[in-house]
Amino acid sequence: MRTKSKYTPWFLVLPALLIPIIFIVIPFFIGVAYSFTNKNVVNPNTAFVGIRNYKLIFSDPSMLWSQLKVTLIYTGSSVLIEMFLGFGIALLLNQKMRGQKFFRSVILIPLMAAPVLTGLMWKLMLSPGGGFAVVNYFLSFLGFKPVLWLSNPRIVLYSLVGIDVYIYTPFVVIILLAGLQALPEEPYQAAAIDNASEWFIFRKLTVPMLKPLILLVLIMKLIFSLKMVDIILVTTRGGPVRLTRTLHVGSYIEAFNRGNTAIALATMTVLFVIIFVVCLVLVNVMQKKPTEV
Amino acid sequence: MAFSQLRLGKRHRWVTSLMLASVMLVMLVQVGYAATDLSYFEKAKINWRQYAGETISILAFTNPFWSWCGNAIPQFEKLTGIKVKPLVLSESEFFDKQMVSLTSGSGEYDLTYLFSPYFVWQYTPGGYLEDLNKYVSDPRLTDFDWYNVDDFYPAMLAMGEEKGKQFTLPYQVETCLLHYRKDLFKESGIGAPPKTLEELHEVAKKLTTDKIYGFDNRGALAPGPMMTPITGIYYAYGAKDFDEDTLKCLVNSPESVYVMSLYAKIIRECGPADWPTRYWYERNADLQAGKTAMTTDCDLFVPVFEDPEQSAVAGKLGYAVPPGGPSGIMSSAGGFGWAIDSASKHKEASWLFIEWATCPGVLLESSVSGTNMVPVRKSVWESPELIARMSAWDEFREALSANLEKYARVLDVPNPKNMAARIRKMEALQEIWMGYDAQKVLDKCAEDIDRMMKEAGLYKP
Repeated sequence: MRTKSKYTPWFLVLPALLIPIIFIVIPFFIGVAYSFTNKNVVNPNTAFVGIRNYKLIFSDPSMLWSQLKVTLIYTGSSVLIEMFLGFGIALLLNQKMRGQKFFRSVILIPLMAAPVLTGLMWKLMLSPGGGFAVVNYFLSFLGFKPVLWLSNPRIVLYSLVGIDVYIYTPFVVIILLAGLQALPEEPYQAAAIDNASEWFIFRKLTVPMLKPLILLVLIMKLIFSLKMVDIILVTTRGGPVRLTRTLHVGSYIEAFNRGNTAIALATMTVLFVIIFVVCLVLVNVMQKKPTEV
Repeated sequence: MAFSQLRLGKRHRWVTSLMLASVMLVMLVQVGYAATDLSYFEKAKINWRQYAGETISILAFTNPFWSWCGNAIPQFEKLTGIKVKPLVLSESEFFDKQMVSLTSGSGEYDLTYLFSPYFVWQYTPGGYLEDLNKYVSDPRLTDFDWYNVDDFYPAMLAMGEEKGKQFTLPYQVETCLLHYRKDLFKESGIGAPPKTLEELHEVAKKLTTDKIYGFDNRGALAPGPMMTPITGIYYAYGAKDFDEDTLKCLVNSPESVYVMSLYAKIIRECGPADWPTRYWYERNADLQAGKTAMTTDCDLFVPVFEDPEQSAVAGKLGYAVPPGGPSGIMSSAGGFGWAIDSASKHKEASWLFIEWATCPGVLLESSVSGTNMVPVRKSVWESPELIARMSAWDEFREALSANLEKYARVLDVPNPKNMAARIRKMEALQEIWMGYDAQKVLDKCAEDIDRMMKEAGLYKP
């Protein structure tokens, strides 16, 4: 009888593993290694400097801490709104109604273009005046003066959150809608027989059964928002001043505007640790025994 | 039935003829560029086709020169048999991409253009740029007499030079001019253009209305806004970025605080409310649409501002040297020049492109019939064709000549972190515009720049 080698599964998955190892894992560790050097565009001689870069970004409030604050506000706001809004729209689209197919198609439109293009589109639409200032144009009918969506320090970050919500809510919708449509009917039938209220059904049946998918979407959305860079770069470029400079945007500016590669990599390493910890916590929650209904 | 035996109906003949004519027209337009008379280039005693079959890639951004050069590439391809693949980006993406491609050592783009000398300072320490002297002096690649290096203004060539090596060859130079609406000045009873920053403030306030910005300029976080528009005025008030000997950052000097505060105040009171998000694209669009009374910026945009097909203010603009200060009138100068990536695998072919793009004939054509300004060759600047063209732009040649002869020069202290420092300074200007205390903001700015310079081993306190 042929015996299976215990290494056979590894050999079988090795080709698929090679690609992420070569293009993600190895560059990641190279980047982390460089974060302990003085690598800089203008200095061709790279030398090991220990944790100097980390000390710098942690000690200067205008660097890591300011960027972390912006990142957390951006992520918290966008994820919260998208999860609630996305779930709500998914529930609506799950109802039998006229035009259901049409609305399910239309909701996907924001996802069809690259975020960079959508960001550019919104940059034009949110401009204070001129031919493309669509938002202010409609607001003028309600008696509002032009709003400085992308330069008013009080609202600029939330304007970007709004763009993020426009782009990524459909992502939440399609995943949760798929989950809703795959839910078994029997528990709902039993609840109907017991005259359970809609709110009871939602709270005790729908949400618990959908929990793994909700957590999955939450993890993915958190990762997207924590590392958001393209929308911000094409609209405000982290400005005005540093009001929309997230960790990722700050790292980009440090690397590509200032040429301080090592400092940028130190910031990215910190961002990686944050994302890793968040994912670890949520995956642990996800792996807990599913609620029985 | 053989094709020759087909007989088309009358209507079919019309439609078919029209379609064939359209196709031929398109082909002729394409061929037209390629079939341009090459006899001028054939006078050069080099074999233009010695690298035929190679392909070179260019990293470019949309600017007045490229809008002409990009269309002329088929001429180069026809002349040399070298295929050209350009990637054209917007300005801020271009600078980011340029840094990645040059410092990666991949040779992804054989050629690019650098704003000299500032980016030459940035990229030479790492050895990212090719020394062009060896190509200029190689008789196999360059007909020295035909190419006529001596025709370049020495100051323009010097912008691309570092430690005896020539890293860029210029195609244009830019200085700062005050651009102002003569018609608005006349309506408001304002006589001469402002000569100081204080006068600029007063005039801007007078001209600002609901529909007109009294003064507008670039404001986005990018190297551009801190260059030509304000640098000359900054130095004219006795401010400077660095100490020449120690490279200590001096942006928090009393003079600097004064100029930055006043400039920010002018923008806040007389400029657009979304100033921190605006590049020159937006500023130019508003100026050309007639929404701006004054701006200070590069002279290179003038051909576009004076084109009636692109600008509603063609013929209405006046030009003057920028406002001066206690140290006199000053204008920053810089110029774009072609550079070869030291990691390029097609250096000789790339050199042929540079030779073509910066030869007297092409630069004359780009300035006379294109939008390339300001010329870097004497033969172009003094050509009757260019003088005739510029005569239609009231005051421009006079103001520009004064700038070039007396006021414009590279004002910054040479150092590789100059561009990075400018971006940090732009952040500070945005903070001052938002109302933060200028001294505190600039103290922090100086501290950050000193740290950046120390990290790079350039400043040792």
